[in-house]
Amino acid sequence: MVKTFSPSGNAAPALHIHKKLIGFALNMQGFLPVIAILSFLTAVVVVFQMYLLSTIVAQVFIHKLLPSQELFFKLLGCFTVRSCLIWLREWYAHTRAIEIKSCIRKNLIQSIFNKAGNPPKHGKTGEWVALITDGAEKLDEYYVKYIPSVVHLAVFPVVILIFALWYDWLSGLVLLITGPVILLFMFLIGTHAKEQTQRQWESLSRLSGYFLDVIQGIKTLKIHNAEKRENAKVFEESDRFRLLTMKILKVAFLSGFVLELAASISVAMLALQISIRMIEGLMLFQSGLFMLFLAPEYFLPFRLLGANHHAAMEGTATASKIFELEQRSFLKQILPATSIENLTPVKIDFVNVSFNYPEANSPALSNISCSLLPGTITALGGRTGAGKTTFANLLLKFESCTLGSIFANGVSLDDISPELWHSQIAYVSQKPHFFNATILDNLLMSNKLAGLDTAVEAAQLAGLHETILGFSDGYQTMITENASILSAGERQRLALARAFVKDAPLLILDEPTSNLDPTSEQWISQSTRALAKGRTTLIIAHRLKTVVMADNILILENGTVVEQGTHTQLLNANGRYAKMVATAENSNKND
Amino acid sequence: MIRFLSLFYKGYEYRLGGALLLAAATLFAGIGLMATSGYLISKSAQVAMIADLFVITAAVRFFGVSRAILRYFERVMAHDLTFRVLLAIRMWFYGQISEKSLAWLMGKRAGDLLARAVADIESLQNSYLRVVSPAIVAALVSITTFVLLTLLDFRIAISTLFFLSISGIAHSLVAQNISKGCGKEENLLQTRLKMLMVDRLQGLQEISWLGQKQKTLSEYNLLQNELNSVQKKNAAFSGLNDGISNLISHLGMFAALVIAAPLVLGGQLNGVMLAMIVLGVFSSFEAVQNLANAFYHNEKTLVAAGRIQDLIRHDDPKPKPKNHSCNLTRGVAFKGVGFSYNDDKITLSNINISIPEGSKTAIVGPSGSGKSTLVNLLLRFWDCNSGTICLDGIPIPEYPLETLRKTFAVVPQDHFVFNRTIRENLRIAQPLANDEEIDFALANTSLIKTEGKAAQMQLMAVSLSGGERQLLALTGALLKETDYWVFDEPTANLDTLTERRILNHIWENVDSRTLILITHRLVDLEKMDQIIVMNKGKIIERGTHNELLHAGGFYASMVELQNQMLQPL
Repeated sequence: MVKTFSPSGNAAPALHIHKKLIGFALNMQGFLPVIAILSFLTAVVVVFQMYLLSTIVAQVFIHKLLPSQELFFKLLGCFTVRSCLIWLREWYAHTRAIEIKSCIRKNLIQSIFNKAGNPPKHGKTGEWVALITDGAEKLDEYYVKYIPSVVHLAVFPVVILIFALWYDWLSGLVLLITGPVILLFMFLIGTHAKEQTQRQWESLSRLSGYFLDVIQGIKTLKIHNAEKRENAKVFEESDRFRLLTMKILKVAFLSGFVLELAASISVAMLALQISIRMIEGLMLFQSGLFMLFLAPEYFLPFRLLGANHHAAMEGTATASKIFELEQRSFLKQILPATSIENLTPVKIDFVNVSFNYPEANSPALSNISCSLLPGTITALGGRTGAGKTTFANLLLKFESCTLGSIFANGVSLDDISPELWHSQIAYVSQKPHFFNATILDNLLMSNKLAGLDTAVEAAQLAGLHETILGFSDGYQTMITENASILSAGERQRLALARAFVKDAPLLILDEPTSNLDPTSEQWISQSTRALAKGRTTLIIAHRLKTVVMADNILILENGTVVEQGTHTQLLNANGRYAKMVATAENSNKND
Repeated sequence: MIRFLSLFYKGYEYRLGGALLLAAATLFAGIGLMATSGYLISKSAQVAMIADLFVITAAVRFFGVSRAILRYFERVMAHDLTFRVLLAIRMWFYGQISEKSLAWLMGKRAGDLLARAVADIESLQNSYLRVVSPAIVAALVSITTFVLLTLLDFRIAISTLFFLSISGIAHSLVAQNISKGCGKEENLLQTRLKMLMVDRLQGLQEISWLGQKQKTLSEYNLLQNELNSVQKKNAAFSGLNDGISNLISHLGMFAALVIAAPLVLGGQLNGVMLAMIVLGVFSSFEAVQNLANAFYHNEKTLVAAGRIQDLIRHDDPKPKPKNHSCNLTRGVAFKGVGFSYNDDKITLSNINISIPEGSKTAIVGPSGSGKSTLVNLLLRFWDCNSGTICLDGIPIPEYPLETLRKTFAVVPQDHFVFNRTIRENLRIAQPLANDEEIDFALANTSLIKTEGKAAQMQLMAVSLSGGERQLLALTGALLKETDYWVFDEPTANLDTLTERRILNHIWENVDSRTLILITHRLVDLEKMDQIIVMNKGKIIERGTHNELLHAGGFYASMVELQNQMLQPL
């Protein structure tokens, strides 16, 4: 399944993703320019404020003069403007970040549901949920803090530096040299941590998947008295996450440390340099103080960038996972949909179809050719693990053929979009999922026009009507997660009823009666027969009872069709099918 | 919440104290750096030789270097502590969840539990890093700054303390008040998003063929828009808080300047001190700078902590079992058992079954007749509403749960397959089994074919098909060494030939064990000592296979139907 993971996701690591993330920021009209303008204005205000401040201090200290009230008021004005600019910048960056983040999340979710026909490998749900929810939230920090702090760094210190060079070039020179050195240090440390941040995210999403697994499987754990033993595993997973996080944080802190140290030393150097020149009489107190006031402001964006370094690493690591999932595609390229307006009735042809799971060394299906005709029931029989479900997955386009093609009325499935194709199918899977909604809503999902009577009819066909009426809310009963209020057999019948509601030309039933007693099974078989009229029906069954009623029986063994024909034909052929029937009859009539 | 969280800090008191001291020291180093720099410049205007400034330049460098070092260690220590505490909370949370009954868990949605187990706990890290520690440190720094300033001038000290309190206390309280409801709303929306996603992602196939894509997307969009507007509201306030914090710190410095200037001119304060005071006072506001926003976002943390506590505190209905002992001294007895999952619908009524040690019992009946519920009651996932179940004559509530569950090797109908390898899945059932034992057991249940064995063992068990999952569950149960086998539809998803093989395997190995087989497959039932036929929560027939066939009742008709269906229609 992994074969077509987009190459860009893995091959070019964080740098590429960086670009993509910044691409979002660039696409957001005005995002970067507004931040830049606000930074610029802040820098101007800061220069002015520090000039006023140093003037006031100098007048009092050196000239022993009480500065004019005007100076004080100007200073107050600077403070106010500066605070407003901060507010504006924070608010603006935040708002935009929220928009970008939800846009990325929307894209991801859209892509997942567009490819709904290609469901995830089982057990990935927890990880996906983590990515969609917490993962996307992590981008917040990236856009709120990191991107603005980069823009800020590109504008703010530059303004101060230019001013300082013009005002007092020696002090400016100190700033000019120390700034880039700090950046260099940061870069050197930062590149090391990227891979680890990826691992940290993987660890978090594994933790998430792990917890979902444990929560949903708690009954099985309890049956085996394993819920306490599982403690060790919870500890192991959580501790792995903790250690990884600390490891990364230490690197992030180290780069912060280097920054702080460089900034501190630079300020100290600047102060020393100024004081020497003042002692030599080469510099005025006011100018020296002014430069000293400016220095911490100059280094602040560097320090901020260092502090947000971790947010950036986390953001890019998460983003690469998000984009990887977004570009996930197991399908061959879908050509512009061939018009197949009318698929009713539909004739299916498998032509030399083979399928390999990527991990497996032997093919799951090899060289299958067969037809499913309209108005007939085809039964697919064979041992557990013979490839029956794979056969259905190919027909459902959940997987695509490694070799050969499947045709619907002569059109290759490769040329039909999954969405269009699935609209033609009613399906009962081995492990049906029901949504968190009422029984009625679950039944009627596929058919917007259907009402209660349709639901009741379908439930009656599936032999579930009385059970539903047994609940005090009847058809309005909420099905909690995984329909745990229903027994396994009832769930199966609900899935059948749901499939019956959908008036589709192709009906695929994967082991529809495995959990049913003979009485229900016969009831269902009759309903299915009635329903199959005018449709193309595929029933996967290991039970002969279900197989017997089919118009055509395919027997799969080790991924190939070994026998094909009606019940009587196959009995007469005296092959595998006949052997299965004999075993079943022995089991049943042992007396 | 503080009390709840402080439980997890037990044993970490030294680390906690160390982290706090380091945080305060870092701030003081920052104040020291700025104050000494200001002093240095001012002094330079007065002295004639750089050598006179030796001590003060050393101080500037000392504070500069120590601030960076202290900050590094403070951050490492604080985060290390936080993550240790989070780990402790996670372990505690899992422990609580695993002790809850299934009845309790059934009412919960996995997405909700997941949100609490992962995201809520993670957001608790903010409680220490962003709120508790900064608040304590702010108090420490404010008071110390005040004391130091009184050495210079009392008025400046008072004014600075005033502004520090405005920022640290008044502003923080206001911010926290304004945020009331916002954090809760955001957390709620995020959890709803998570629940929606868990529900829909698990049903991705269904979404596709049921044509639910658009509906799901619009549902999501609605939720996302709501979340966006709440977050934007929060963003506006949080930006405002930053602005106000910044303004207050500048005003604090301004006030110090305005008070100090006349004092310098009047000769009451040495002018050299002026720049130092301005810079030092301004630096001290770093201690309170982020407090308001921390408190503003604190609600999210409080909500998270509250949700975690709620969940745990939430009543786990403890049943009051009426324990009557039973006559059967060896084996399992159901005596007048009645049960219903919710008061809606009676699942079982007046069930009496006696299963002597070593006997083989089959329980058959249509789906929904309450067969699997018997297993749920036997393992005490639920307790009977009336009547008693006894094991060896003693009511089962009197056994420790662990002992009870150890007694039975169970194949449940809804066996959950974990996202782990096949071997790891089996070790859940039998942790002590070594690889050979597991392989042997797997070969017996024919789950693993001989070819490609090694590769298959590494296979994640979730990729198994329905029939294979059932074989996995059975293999796990057979690995347990017990005297009771309780199999709920062990062959429902198996083909006839595999079923035959599995049943043969079971019969060859059952020996003197007690077997309880729940099935709708009427196969091999003639080997049973008794067959219990259930329908709609009641026992309608009982006896051996032959007795029941001759009686010509419900069972006989089921058998007939099963055989009949083999003939082509």
